[in-house]
Amino acid sequence: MSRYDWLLFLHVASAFALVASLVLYTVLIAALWNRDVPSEAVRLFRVQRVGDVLVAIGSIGVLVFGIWLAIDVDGYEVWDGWIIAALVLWIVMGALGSRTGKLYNAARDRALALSRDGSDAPSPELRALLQDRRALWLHVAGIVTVVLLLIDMIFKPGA
Amino acid sequence: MLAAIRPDSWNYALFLHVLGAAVLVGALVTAGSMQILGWARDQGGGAAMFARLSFRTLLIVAIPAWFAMRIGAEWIRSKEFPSGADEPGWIGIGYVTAEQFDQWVRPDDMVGKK
Repeated sequence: MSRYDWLLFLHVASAFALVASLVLYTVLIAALWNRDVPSEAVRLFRVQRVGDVLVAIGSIGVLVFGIWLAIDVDGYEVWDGWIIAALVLWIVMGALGSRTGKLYNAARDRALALSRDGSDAPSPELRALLQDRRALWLHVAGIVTVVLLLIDMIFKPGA
Repeated sequence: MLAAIRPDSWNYALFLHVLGAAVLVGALVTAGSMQILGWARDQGGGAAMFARLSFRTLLIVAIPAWFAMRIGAEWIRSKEFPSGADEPGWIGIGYVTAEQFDQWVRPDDMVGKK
């Protein structure tokens, strides 16, 4: 395989890791939606670690290998409109992901605290945190941003 | 390396194929992670909960994603190789027709001495 093939493979594999993390978080949010027992929530939140690894590898990988590809391949430049659009979408995705993560991490930490206190009774406070509409909409916005990134990568408007 | 250019009319098929494949990978990773967690940490019905979630992830996410990926793949295949001519061998890897399966797979030949 040539260097181009390797770069493209690693770029696409990173994109797959990124989308995979979003699928995992979506399933996790759906699974946690109607939970209010702290120990159950804590148990489910363990899956989050897999998503955290995937999102870190995916988001850094798409950026690094994407810029490398843009520099390496004749015909594309980093300042092309569709590549700048991708960079802007990447920043938006990062900001949305960071905000979403903070909200759900607060719910996880509350579930952990309740569980450590030995209180495993259903908690309306925990349910409210897990059903936070703002966190859900931020997550949906993150998904939309990644789909827009994929559209931009495939259709390459202006290229 | 020169940038590879493909006809714009392939983009919708490629988008569906890549999105389906990426969601399929995500569903498999999610289902696998839940299954492993269920096996590793069986505390108070945890295994059953993770197994149920794993199954539902495969049913609700992975199967539709597989269909999206395959439809996208067949769509783009019909555009790139309209008559099936000059189709590279790697495209057919992993796929057999029912007739080929019956012709090649003979359970009687798999057991006992020849």
